[in-house]
Amino acid sequence: MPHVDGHDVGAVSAAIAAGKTETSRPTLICCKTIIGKGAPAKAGTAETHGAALGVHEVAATRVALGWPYAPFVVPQPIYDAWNAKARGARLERAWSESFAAYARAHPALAAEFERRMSGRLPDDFAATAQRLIDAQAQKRETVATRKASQQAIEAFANVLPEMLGGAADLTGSVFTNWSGSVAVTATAAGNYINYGVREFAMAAIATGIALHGGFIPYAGTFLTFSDYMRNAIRMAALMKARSILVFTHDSIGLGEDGPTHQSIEHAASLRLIPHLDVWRPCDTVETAVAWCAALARCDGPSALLFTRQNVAFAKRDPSAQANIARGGYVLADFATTGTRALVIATGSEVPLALGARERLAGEGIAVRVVSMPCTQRFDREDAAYRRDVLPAGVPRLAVEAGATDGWRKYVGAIDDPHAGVVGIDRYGESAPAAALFPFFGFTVDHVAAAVRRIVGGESRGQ
Amino acid sequence: MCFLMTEAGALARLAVAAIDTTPALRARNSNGKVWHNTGASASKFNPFAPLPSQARGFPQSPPLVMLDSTAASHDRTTPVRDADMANAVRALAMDAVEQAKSGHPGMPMGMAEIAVALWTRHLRYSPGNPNWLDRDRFVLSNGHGSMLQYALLHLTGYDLPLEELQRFRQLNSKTPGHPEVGVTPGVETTTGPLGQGLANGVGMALAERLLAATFNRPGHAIVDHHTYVFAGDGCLMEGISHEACSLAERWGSGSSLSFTTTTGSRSTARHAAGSPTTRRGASKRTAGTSCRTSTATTSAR
Repeated sequence: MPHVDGHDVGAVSAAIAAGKTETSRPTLICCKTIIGKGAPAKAGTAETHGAALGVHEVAATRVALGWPYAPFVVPQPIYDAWNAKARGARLERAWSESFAAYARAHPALAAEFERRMSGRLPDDFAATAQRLIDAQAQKRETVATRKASQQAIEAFANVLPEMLGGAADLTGSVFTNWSGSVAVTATAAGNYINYGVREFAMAAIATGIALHGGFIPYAGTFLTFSDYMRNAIRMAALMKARSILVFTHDSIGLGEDGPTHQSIEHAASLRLIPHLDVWRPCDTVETAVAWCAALARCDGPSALLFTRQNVAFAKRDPSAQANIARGGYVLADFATTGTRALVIATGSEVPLALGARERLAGEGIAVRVVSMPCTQRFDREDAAYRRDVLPAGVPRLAVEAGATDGWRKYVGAIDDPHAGVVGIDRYGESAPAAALFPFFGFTVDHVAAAVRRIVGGESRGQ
Repeated sequence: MCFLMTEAGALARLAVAAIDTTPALRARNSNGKVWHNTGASASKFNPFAPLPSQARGFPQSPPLVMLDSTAASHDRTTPVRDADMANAVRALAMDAVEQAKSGHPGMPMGMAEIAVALWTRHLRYSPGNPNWLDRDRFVLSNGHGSMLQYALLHLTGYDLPLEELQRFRQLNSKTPGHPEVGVTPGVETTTGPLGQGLANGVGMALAERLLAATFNRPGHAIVDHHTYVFAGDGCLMEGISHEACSLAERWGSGSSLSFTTTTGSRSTARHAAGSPTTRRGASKRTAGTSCRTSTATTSAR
């Protein structure tokens, strides 16, 4: 509706009334207004936009408006005219009565509605999660973690009707759909949103869905395109909204599409966003735990980072499995006495750490591999647990196919000869993933050599 | 869903009141009475006469004052007009920004009548219970106009006392520079980065529609509310609004999704020279525009 006089209450009200009767599409009411209306000298100018009017103009505005009252004084009759408490209470009471009638007619639906709107997960959620985690541990599948993610979605979405999925035109690549996905259309309610190539709006719409209540939105795209969404992710974190961002193709492992699409700094930079949990799981079990944590996190968003390529299943004992949820844990401990080293790894680089551990065992170097799928979770653990996982005085190496800076927090300063990071601080290359990993030093040989250097005190920063 | 937006247009120029503020201040109040500067001595209609209560809010105020409040046109027998209600919003916004010496008065002053229309005649809300499940959702996408929302929440009876408005933009107040969900009762989403509130609103409206489809039963429309978004032209300049609106239209047809939009007043800002302001008005990011006026703020968002 164009050209509505925004200073004519009746005209605006009529436009809104007309908009409410339009049920086939949204209504945009374009109101012509004057910025700062009422300020005699400054109205209609940008001067009223972002600064106080100034005492002279404020006084002049009072005169111009015929508003003779002192600052912050509103006459009682005007307060009374504005006051909506009684009207609001009436509206709410009427709704409560109709909801009570609904609850009598449809008690199960009413209970489910109240559960959904409260954000509470079903009582059997924990059992569902444990079943999935145990099943994945049993199966020991070597798959891409994006595939493991789809398996987790399948398991959870079956019991969580509040999961409202979607992707930015990459469903076939990010695997955010499941067997029960039904597209949201103009006519179908559905549970899956085809956002189109609209990453920024996708993140902000997901936040709006979460804020409304009744749903847990999740939305997927390639990790590199998280840049498009970044401010909306930040806003979700600021608001503590439960939205879940699924980011796949999380490294040079993306391959042939090259540096435009290969994530380098993205995991590290997402970890900088306060109150956002960033998970980069290494296999089917860690992926199931990450999904469980994200769904159960009712006071904040989570970013889940998954690989395009297959990642070998990591065998772990039950206590290690139980500690995944703590964000960082001992995946494979020192096997022998003697020279010790810690290798911290995430996601697709965990198998390299395990390979180096095996290689070095024959050389008298005992390596503990710490898998750290979520640094924020690990940071929230108490100091005793953190020291237990990362004991002081042991040379430390971090391995992740991405920017190195963040790992310094865990391994040591750049000049520390007993600290190192195997990472990538440049852009990627267009080539098959199988060629890129060796090119960038992500081999068991290279990681083992880096461990030897930190053990020997020869690390020079990398 | 209803988007209400303001835009620069024919009316924009009308607002610049033709008043010469110095040395004589002349204006016509809404009753047609002319106020004027009669000199240093205070008379009942002397806009320069000091008011004790004014000094509290404006410690550095010059001897520029308005009518004695005893001259108030409102008593309990006078019907309250829309203009009075709008002016209450204007005055609170203007005063809070003045007290904080920081903020955005232009938008709340420009959207005051739109707010009266929506908040007194259409919006369904319960100030006593900001979490009422079937309330209409109100989003202030042009969040720099936060004082508009704070004034509305205060006036309509939410738990937002006047003291909070007087502490606008101060540490630990319930009135932060931009609306923040979880800080102020009645604020549905945190806004400020322009255009995103509009996208949040699309999400809220979609959630409403999908919940209604899941839970409503014949004769029992327990999910039945609207989403209203105030947006400025800056919101519509941001690309995210194009993304969000093109989706909203796709989802909207044949459904209960109904958006009503009102644009914010910022879009109407014009300079004396008549050149349109940028989205960020007179703030620091004005490259490529003819916006030359400067303000004290570092950022308009």
